[in-house]
Amino acid sequence: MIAKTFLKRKSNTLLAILIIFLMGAGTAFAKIKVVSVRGKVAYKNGGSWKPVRKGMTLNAGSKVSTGIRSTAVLHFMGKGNTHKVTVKPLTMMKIYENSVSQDKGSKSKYRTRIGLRRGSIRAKVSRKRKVRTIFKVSTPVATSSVRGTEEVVSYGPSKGMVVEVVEGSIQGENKNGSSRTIGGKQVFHQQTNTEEPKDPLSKVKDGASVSIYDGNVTRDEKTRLDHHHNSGFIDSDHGGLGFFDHQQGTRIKVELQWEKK
Amino acid sequence: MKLKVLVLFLSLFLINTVVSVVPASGQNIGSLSFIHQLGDKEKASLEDGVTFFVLTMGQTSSSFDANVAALKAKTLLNDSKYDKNAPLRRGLLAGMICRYLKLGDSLFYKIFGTDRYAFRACIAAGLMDVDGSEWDILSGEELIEIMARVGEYGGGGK
Repeated sequence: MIAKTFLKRKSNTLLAILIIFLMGAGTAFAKIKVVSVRGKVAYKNGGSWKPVRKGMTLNAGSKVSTGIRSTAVLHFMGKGNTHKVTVKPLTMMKIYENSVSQDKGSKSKYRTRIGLRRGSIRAKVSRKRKVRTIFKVSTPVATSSVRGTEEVVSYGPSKGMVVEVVEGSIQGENKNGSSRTIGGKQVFHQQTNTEEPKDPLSKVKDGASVSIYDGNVTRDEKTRLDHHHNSGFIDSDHGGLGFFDHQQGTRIKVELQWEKK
Repeated sequence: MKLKVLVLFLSLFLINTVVSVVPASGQNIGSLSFIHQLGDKEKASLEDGVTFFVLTMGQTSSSFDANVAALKAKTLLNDSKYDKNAPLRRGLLAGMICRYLKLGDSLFYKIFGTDRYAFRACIAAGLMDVDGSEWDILSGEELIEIMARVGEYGGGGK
């Protein structure tokens, strides 16, 4: 009787421990999950190419390839973070690393490294305060490290590496060690046949990277101002045509972002 | 009883793990094999370009002659004879792209319709880069890069 009760308690305890372990196992380790697949998408991890299926898990070391009009969405999960990577058509990438570690007495570290052989990926990187997040995308000519949240990285033999910052900022560094920190919807562009990345302000017009308008300017007036370089003809309130005077004062909001060292 | 629950739970967990790594059996990745092989080629051939175009149009690729006939039917190729082993040149591909996407930004292409001006029209549309000429022979990777831009321009795969 006592033995039966003892065994009963033991098995209950074991069951409870097992359930807790299995629930916790998913968050203690980094994981890559395929969230959606459209068209022809394949993966390879040392063997031959196999079709990718929604819901499956990929390992570090896997290559992923998408076909014509085909895409895949992957979730890189670790330490409560989930990075969303959309693999666009005709892309080939390799997942070099997706790991979590704990530094002595400091923050946890969640590290993801992707190699892009060709094509394009869109990466939305999440950040938790207590986790040091490292997310890098490398191509044959340069590497981008995400500092903010969202970027589109593409690579091709003609165009080189192009990183469009959708939100936040990135640091792009080429093979020569030349680096640029890019933010504010600018573009990092490293061509295959140049030593330096392209000047991010190469599309600057009239000394300004953005045009600033008075709050009362309409869309048509903005279009004309852009075309005529800050002056133009509009229909005036007094009938007929008049010169639009852009020399008026206007209130603008400037946000300074200091880089943490 | 508790042991039975434990065994059942473990079985379900193992089945879930196995199922999540078993690859899908239904998806055909045949065209992906073509793209992978193409990526390793230093020089793309006319046959590669024709095959890629047929696949981009959503059709099944067949023999070279059948693919050429399909493209001629869509007026993407003219009535000339084509050598499948000839290297794929930028100008010829540009002509096919202009007719496929109906690019109309280049006035000279509209008037003359030659590969030279088709190349200019593709540059204007951001599909090809300004460095180079219509006579350049394309590598496999370059062909893939250009066709990826064609796909995006045409609105596919966003």
